[in-house]
Amino acid sequence: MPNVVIDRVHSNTAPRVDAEEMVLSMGPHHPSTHGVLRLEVVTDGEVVVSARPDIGYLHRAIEKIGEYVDYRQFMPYTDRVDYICSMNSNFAYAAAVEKLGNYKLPLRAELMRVMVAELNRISSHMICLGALAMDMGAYTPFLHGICHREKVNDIFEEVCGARLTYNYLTIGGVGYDAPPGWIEKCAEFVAYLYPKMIEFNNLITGNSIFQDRLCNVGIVPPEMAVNFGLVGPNLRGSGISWDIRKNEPYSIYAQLRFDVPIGDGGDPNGSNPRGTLGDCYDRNVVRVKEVFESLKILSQIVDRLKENEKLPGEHPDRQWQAKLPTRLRIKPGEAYVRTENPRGETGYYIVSDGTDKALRLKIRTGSFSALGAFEETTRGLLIGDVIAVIGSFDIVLPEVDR
Amino acid sequence: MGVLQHKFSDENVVFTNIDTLLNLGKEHSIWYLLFATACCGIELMQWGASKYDSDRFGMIPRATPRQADLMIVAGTITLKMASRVKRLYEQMPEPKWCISMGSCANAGGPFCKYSYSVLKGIDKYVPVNVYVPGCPPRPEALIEGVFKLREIIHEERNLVRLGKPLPKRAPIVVEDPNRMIFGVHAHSPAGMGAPQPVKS
Amino acid sequence: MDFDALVAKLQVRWPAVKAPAVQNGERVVLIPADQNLAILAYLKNDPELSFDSLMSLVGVDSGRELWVVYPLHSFKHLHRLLVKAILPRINPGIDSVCSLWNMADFFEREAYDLYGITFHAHPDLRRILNPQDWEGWPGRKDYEYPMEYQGIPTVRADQFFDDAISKGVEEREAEDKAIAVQIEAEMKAKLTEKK
Repeated sequence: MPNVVIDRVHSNTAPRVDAEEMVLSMGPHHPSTHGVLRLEVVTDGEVVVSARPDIGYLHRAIEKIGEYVDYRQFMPYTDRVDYICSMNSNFAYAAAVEKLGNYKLPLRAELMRVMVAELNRISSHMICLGALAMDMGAYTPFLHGICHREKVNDIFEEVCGARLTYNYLTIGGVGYDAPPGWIEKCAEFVAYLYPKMIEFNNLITGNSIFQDRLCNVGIVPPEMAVNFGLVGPNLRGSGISWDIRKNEPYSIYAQLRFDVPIGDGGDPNGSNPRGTLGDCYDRNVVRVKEVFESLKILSQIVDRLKENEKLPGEHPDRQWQAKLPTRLRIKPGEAYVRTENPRGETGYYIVSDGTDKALRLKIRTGSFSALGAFEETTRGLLIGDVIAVIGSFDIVLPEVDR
Repeated sequence: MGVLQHKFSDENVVFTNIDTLLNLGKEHSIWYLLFATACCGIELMQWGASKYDSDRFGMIPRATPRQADLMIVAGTITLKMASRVKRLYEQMPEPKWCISMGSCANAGGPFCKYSYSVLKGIDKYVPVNVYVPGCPPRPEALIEGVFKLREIIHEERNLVRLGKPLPKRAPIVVEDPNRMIFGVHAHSPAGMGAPQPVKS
Repeated sequence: MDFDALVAKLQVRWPAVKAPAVQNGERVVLIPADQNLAILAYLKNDPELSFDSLMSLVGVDSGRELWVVYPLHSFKHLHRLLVKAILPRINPGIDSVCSLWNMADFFEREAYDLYGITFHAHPDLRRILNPQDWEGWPGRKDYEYPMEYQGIPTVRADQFFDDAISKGVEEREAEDKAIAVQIEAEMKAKLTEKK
């Protein structure tokens, strides 16, 4: 046994050590599942002084491609803008082109669109909630989320043939009609998921370790959220009730009944009694509640589709595509149209010059402005909290870089 | 198995050659690097999850390249990202392989024509063993790609006899000159033959 | 407030503001580029207008000139407005609106990266989507695609763009019609030979 002298150094007698700030480069390859994001983190010990995002590692020039291909040919590229909720991305682009070209859709096309959009909203939230739980250290909720998502993938594979990037919506409707028995499968899925989400809520959202990691972390007050351009669940988590499906309705959302959940941190009777308004837990709870709201919308759409099935085949409401020319010539003009994506609003600003290709096509996504607010939100947090903030903002990099 | 197979009454004796044994170990426990850039990354995650379990093939994800054998390049690689992919590949220890998953990594994908910032195929930067086509490829296609990689690994030669010229890579030589000296050398990807395309 | 009332209120203070009629799409307010900060500050702070949310910030290359478009939205009064400033192609410069809406930070960097529009008084104007040593403004219509970047070739051997940009709409529509006629003839031939 070597002769070791253990010297207890008291903090008031120890020499003062000047700690330098350390610059840490997190990414672009890191185990978190959010993509190729690089953060230049300047830390003082474990406390973050500034965390600046460095993006562009997935910049594929999708907007520039929009100037080279037709309006119809651009639809598969909108899938790749946000591939986790591909149907919603398709929906945003189709809504923008239809607004600019003044195209009207038959009823069945609208119903099918809302059905697949809401199913994809659920499967997108499954990945987001699962990935956030995985970042917090729990691996199993991610597997549960993927398991539910696979059921949605099977439903989508029946209707359009693909598992991830569907390219199902077209300008003027949807690509294919629902095969026989598909609507019953959707109804079965709604009945299947409801008890599973309640179980998920009890296990994970109500878990005290989860709450310890997320409450009072990454607080975004409401004025800051509006000023930094946060949208979607990030904005609603800060207490502002703004949902484009409710406030600026498009498609048939005006005829559907659903609520808009908002964050209520700090309220002892609310769902986040231990936190403050606008923290990570608020945003998480908003997403969980949105899944329940989507299930509500889905059951209403299933009923309406069943009614729609009874119409004869030649009835104009029974068509799933509007009769539009193959080459869409849109008169010169510009429009900014936004729809509700699981990650916030997706705004398409399209300028047309009279031909069948767009002059400029700009995609405004929720994750881009969420990253703009990132540096301000993570000042003074610990490094582990930075991961929680990325996960709770639900950032996917293809949306950011396009 | 060989001529000696049925000469022993004990059935628990197996004869094979060292190459097969080592390759058996290598191909059934390939640990892949969790490297996902774009849409194919979600298919990679779903391939590793419960329905299309990659763990039953012995493949588990590792977060750091220093513990990984296989790099599955899943997703579009841009010019900004290309040098980082090369650095990750160089940080992986030998023996290592690379699967190019999806159209974007094979040849640029749907962005090959009009995009200025996409690397048109990862094989311009990193040696690739197996290409898996698809946009994104189904998890079953990726499993087929892994099986093709296993066939490639099965053909690897691990032993080198004395007297033959040593390969360009310096082999690890075990000491004790009285026993048969064998060198286990890392097989360079260039010597493994042409990459095999997968029919998905 | 509807569009005409908004424009009338703006023109009281800034007579240079115009709102031409359009044949399709949304109507846009054209503002002079050198006064954009003052006009946008008025749009944000006036209690009747109170555009507290900048929805997006778009740089556009229209072929002749560059535009910067600000779609604005008000949470208080629930009205929206598209504001456009037109810039020349040589040395485009405009004031940054980061002091009004913090979200303009990343969006202006993107407009600088893609079109070369300089935003004065921006806290950190550098490239955001492309690598820092990228040359040229990729969003512009006269951008030439680079043949290589840091030693890697960036184009494939069969990559060319002529068919996309040289043919006009009428030519493509004529091609479509020719193909449709040909398909119809083939189908008719198949039906008659089956009979």
